[in-house]
Amino acid sequence: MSRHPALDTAPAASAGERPARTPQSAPERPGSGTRPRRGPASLARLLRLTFGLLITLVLISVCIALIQGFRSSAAVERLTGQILPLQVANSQLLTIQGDAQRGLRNHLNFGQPGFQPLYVQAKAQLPGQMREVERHAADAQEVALARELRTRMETWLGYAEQVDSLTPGTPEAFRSSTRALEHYNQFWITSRKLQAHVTIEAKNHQRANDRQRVLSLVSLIGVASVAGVMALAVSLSTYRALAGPLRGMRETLARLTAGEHEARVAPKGPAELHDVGLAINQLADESDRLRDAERERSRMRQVAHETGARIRRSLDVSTVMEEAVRAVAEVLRARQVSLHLIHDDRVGAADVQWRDGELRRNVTSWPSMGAELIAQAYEQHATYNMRTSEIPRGGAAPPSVQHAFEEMPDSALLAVPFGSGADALGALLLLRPWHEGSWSPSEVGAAEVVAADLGYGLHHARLFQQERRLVDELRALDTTKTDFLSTVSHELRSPLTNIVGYLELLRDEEAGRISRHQDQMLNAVERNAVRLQLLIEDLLTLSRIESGAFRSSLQPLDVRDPIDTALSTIQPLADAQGVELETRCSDEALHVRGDPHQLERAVTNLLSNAIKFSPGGGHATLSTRAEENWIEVAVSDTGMGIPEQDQHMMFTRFFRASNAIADAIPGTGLGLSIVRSIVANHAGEMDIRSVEGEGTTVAMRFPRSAPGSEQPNDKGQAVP
Amino acid sequence: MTTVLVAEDDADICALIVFKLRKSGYEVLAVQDGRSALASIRETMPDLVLLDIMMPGMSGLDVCRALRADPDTAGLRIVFLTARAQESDVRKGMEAGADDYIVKPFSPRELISRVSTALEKTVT
Repeated sequence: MSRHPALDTAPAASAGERPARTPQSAPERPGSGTRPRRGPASLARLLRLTFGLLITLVLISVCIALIQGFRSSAAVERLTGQILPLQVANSQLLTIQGDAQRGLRNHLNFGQPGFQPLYVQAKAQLPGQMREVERHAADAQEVALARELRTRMETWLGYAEQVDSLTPGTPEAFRSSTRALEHYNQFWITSRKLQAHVTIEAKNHQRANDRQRVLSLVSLIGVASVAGVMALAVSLSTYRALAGPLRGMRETLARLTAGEHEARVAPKGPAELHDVGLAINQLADESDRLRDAERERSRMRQVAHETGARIRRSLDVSTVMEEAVRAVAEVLRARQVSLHLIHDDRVGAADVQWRDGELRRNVTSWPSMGAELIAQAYEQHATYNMRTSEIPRGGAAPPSVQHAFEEMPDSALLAVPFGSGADALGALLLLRPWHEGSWSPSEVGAAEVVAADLGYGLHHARLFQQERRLVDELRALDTTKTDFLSTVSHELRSPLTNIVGYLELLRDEEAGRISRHQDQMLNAVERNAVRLQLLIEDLLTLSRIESGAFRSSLQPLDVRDPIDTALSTIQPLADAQGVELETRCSDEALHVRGDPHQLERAVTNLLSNAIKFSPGGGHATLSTRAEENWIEVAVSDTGMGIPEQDQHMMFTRFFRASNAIADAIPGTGLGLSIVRSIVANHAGEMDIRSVEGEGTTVAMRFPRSAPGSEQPNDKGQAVP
Repeated sequence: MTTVLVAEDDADICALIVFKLRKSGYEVLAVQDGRSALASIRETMPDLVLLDIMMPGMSGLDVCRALRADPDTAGLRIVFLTARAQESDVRKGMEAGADDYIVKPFSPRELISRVSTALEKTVT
């Protein structure tokens, strides 16, 4: 392992971040960024083309209309400006010529004076009118006819001027008149020709004009129809080109929104929509990739969380380590996972190693090295994610470790330190062949979480182990103490049996008469023997309570029986202490289910206390009371009492009231605690009422049992 | 005359019991361990056996079981002497076949009373 921060991220990210996906990504985004060389037609181009055509058609229509307009106006111009005036001028010329001819004839033939002015006036108008006709003659034929007409007119005029001075009514005048008429007829014929020509011309013009109007109308309608059809076709094709792909996209988007992540747009239609479809697909792909990555991250988080829970659940160091290693190996596709703990500031053999599905312990194939690197990495929260073949020589790792990395096949290495608080505890080492990919950020994250839990779990497991060892030691010590107490108590019984037994023989004067003096001495011996006996019983009972062997064998009995036994045991003590012992026992049997020995012990202990704590003599009373469900046994004294502040502690083992200690009254502080255990064994209750300096009452209450269930007492002790 | 065999390894206690029993008119045999007790009982067939439980070699319980297992001695009156007054010890004693048990320290008067009670049971 080498300190090489530059390797922590950069190579991993560039070389190993999902190498497998790189080849897939190319076909996933066809035409992304650059346009495909041969794709569907562009809608914009189509529209541009269509509108260009339409505009051209409109322009053509306008041109047609304009041309038609021009033509029409030219035709009208010719008709009104030339043909019609020519017609009028011709007609007027003919009229004037007629007037002149008529004036001349009437003058020549009849000499009527009225016709002379008509002739003169008409003759004077003729040249002007002729010019008018000539002015309106446009085409070649009109000009030719006008010229002929002038010739005819001038011929007539020349002749008229020759004959107008002839004497009217003469034969010569008549002949002249006839000749003039012939000239006139020539003129008239020409004028009529001109008239006929102009009329035909006018008609032709009219007809041509009409034809053109119809033609241009037809053209306009044709162009407009073509434009209309084209617009309709373009609209339809545009609609078809847009509607299908858009509907497809809308449906795909709806499916994607509804969570159908595999939905994709089938790219079709114009290039723009094709591109939009591809873009949607790309977004969906990207979203898939993100979702996959997120799912992977969340799976890792979940696994790390579960592993952490598993690790923390165990309080066994080995289990914690094995759980962590197995979890990491299974989840992160590692070929090998080893856990190296720091022992005596060194790291070496893997404490636990997982390899090829097998867990092994103490795998010593790894060289040993100082723990400073791990401690430093732990302190800096550094995780090493690198390629073994890229670990630099001469780095911080010792040559032996460097060599070990060189020996192994090219691998992706992940080293995660772990610890507890400020102390590094070790490191997790994960390896897998480089070609299987480097460690992804989510894998690194998961390994770090597991490592953190591992540190926590190990710390707790170690603490727990220490605690457990301590508890075991203490328990062993306690057992030894209890055993010792029990053994000592038993061993004390044999000598006590001798003392008590021989004392009784002496007192019974089995060995001869006893003097009064001797009797007093024997009393002292007996008192102390009883004290010793009670003390031994207390110790023995305590050892049994502590060892859990203090159980009561309950049997139906009359509670007065154990009371009597206790009274007879305690009487010598009372006598010696000068305490008057009074008994207020019920005359009727008091049935309970109890252990006779234990009940006797309880009463004895209470009586013993009553006597002991009445140092100057006094009064002790044992009373019984039968209630509906309870039997109460109470012992009262008029002794020193218990200070109020000590009363709540009276059932605590070895606790002694402060005034008893002050007055040097002997005792062990076990009596009441034993009584309480006995009462508890009998499902009973007890309480203490005491006033310092006045006295104490201790009451025990036992559940009352049905009369008649009592069986004959084995001991056969009679109630006195 | 009624014979009582006392098996007790504590010599002083043994002497005390022997003294009190003899004073009370019993014929008394005394032994110090379990094996001697068993041998002596089979030889003399006493009316009652006072057996200390804790004895070297063979415990009183073993002696009791051996006696109860043997048809010749199965009917013997047996009373245990024990320093252990715990239920488990008492139960073990009674299960081994004892007629009664006396807890140390005991009063010699009480001992005589128990012995005579046990013997009365034999008569009836």
